[in-house]
Amino acid sequence: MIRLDAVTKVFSRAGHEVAALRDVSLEVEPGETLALIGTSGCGKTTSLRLINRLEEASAGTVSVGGVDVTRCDPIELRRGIGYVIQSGGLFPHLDVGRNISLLGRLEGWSPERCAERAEELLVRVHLDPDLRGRYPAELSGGQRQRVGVARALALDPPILLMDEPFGALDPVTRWHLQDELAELLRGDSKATVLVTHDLDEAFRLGDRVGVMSEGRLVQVGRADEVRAKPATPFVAEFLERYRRG
Amino acid sequence: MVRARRIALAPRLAVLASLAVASGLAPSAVAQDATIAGGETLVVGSKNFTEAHLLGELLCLVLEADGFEVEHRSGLGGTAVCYEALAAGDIDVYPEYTGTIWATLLKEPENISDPLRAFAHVQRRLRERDDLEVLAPFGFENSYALAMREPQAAELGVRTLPELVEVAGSLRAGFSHEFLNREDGYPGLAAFYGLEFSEHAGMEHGLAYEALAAGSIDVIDAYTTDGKLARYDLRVLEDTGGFFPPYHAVPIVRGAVVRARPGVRRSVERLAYALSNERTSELNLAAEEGADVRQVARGFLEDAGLLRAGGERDVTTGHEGFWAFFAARRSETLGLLLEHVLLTLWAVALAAAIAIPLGIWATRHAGVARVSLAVAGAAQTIPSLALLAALLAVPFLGLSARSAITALVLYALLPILRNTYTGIRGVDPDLVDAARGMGLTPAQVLRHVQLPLATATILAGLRTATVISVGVATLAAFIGQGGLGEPIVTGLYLNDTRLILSGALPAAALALAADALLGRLERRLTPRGLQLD
Repeated sequence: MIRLDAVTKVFSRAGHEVAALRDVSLEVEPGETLALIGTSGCGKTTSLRLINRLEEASAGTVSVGGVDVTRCDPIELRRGIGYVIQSGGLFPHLDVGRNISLLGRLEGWSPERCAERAEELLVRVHLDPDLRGRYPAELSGGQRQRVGVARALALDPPILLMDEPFGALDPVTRWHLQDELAELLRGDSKATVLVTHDLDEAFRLGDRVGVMSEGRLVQVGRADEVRAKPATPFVAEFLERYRRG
Repeated sequence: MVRARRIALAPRLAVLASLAVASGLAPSAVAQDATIAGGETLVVGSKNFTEAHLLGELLCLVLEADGFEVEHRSGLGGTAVCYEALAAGDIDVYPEYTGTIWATLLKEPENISDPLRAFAHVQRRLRERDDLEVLAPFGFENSYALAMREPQAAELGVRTLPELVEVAGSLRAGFSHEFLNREDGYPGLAAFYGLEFSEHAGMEHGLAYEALAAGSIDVIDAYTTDGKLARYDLRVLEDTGGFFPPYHAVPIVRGAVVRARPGVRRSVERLAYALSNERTSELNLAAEEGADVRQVARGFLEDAGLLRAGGERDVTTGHEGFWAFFAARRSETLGLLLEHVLLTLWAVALAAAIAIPLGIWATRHAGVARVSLAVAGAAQTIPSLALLAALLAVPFLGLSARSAITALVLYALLPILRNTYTGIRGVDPDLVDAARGMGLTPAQVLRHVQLPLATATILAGLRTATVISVGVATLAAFIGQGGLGEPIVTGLYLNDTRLILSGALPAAALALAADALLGRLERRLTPRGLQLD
């Protein structure tokens, strides 16, 4: 479903070339969740942004559904990809209902269909459908994040990209939302990539976990495999340091 | 007060406009065809001081009496504005002085003292150069002169300009801006006599008399027919060396008009030699003390047997209180207010139509942002009257509401442009990213995310622009475009506080009202979700 082939991404900042990704290859199948983990600046967010073409690869190819993303219409590509960012990225001038159904409206849905879909999704993310008329400023952090997830699911996209979705939440709320998300994704055919710096979150939500460091994907594998057999001293140290807090 | 300071810049307009003429920016008068400025209507122009206004009214009255349809554009801001308007065909006739034509318009290098030679020379030169006809003089001379308080002059024993030179080192002078900058004014005079004051400054002529009477200055420039010379007990110093050229008042008419409508010359020349120096001073004083200029002019013409008595003669003495005065001008003020509002609305609407799209474009191209903000910023720094003067020289604009609106638009651009630009740039980049990532097209990002979130900032810019425009629009009066500036400008030249206030108070009220109204609009149009924080 999602495939990165020997992808390198170089940014030029103030005249200097900085490689954010070096020769990264990975694959995510439908129904599977890949959790990318690593210290900040390791390239995990860049990997996500290459998939929905907010960035373009300097070398290598990124393909979605077997098609090179640079050959797709970026707008169409992105409408097939749900995108959740830290703290939800909700539009403060739109109420909850309109945040969720914005894409539906742009796709020409009737107001009834928009309202129906918003209610349905609010229920799916464990929110009261009556929150529809509230504005983001009137919601708690956890509610905002749930609405962000609901909005990403509006067009029922086959792919879901989540960038530190629960990063700004308190541990208890985070715990609940992780459970809910795991349940939501279970038995669904979406290909999901989740970026996080929280190892527990990666192990709880990821069918597979990818550890990144300085632009390289140093190890990918099932959670228990990675835990049991760190592929490199870096991974071992990363796991060790994390365990100690 | 900001407005008063702006208006005091008026005479600079003349200087700037003459620069424009000198550098060849002015359209050639010869290129104009034989049509009359206002179509069939004759347009009489006059400068922004009492005597010019009076002469303008006299011209209007005789022309009307002879069956012409006439429009009077009074209060034009100085020699260059009038002359350019005439040369461009925006007006058909205006009263001028031979010495002014000699020194300021023709820039003749030598001093001249023979009035007949001066008249013949300017008549020939204007006909050759710009196809303009100098018709027979009105009969009086209004020369420049220096004046002092009578008691101080007596005490110092100063009667003539050479005597002034002796004591000038201990005196302070306040000169009108035009006088300070004209070759036949202070620079020439100082060089000619070797005159040097302890200090000299430029000031609004209408206020100079007050300053002199109050003792804050000792010497002013005056016109020998100023009504105020008598009122303030002043001594006019004799120009024994013959520096000032003769300033005989003459009508200048466009050659095309004289040829196409021979009746115009006959009609205008009924005023030939009709006025003496004394009579002119009296009429000026009557007008300055608050009588309606048109009525003063009509009264004179009737007394001189140049106009049949009757009609709208009434004696407004002008000594009633401000509120009575204000109430009497109610309908006039309403008309001016409407003109003012329309002028402002046009300007702000046009500026918004330019600046909002430009501001949006600038958020997408750093180059556009740099250039447009720099240009709009520079436009804002041009003094308003200088800008008006420069626009007068532009062929399509000229002496019309278009010039006033263009100037207003130029001032309104910056606040709208800057607020549109910073408003959109100030939208949280994460939200823009979220919108792009969801699959919104750039236009949809703008329409659904950036513009709604920038609304409050853009409206605040619009509000600033509107308040600025209400203020600057008072200057439209300097190029005869009415609005609430008209009573302000006229009031300044007539030294009439009530008249000034009758324009300034509604203008201030209008600015406050516009500010309050747009403030409410700002709150109403700000999306509800943004008012919750």
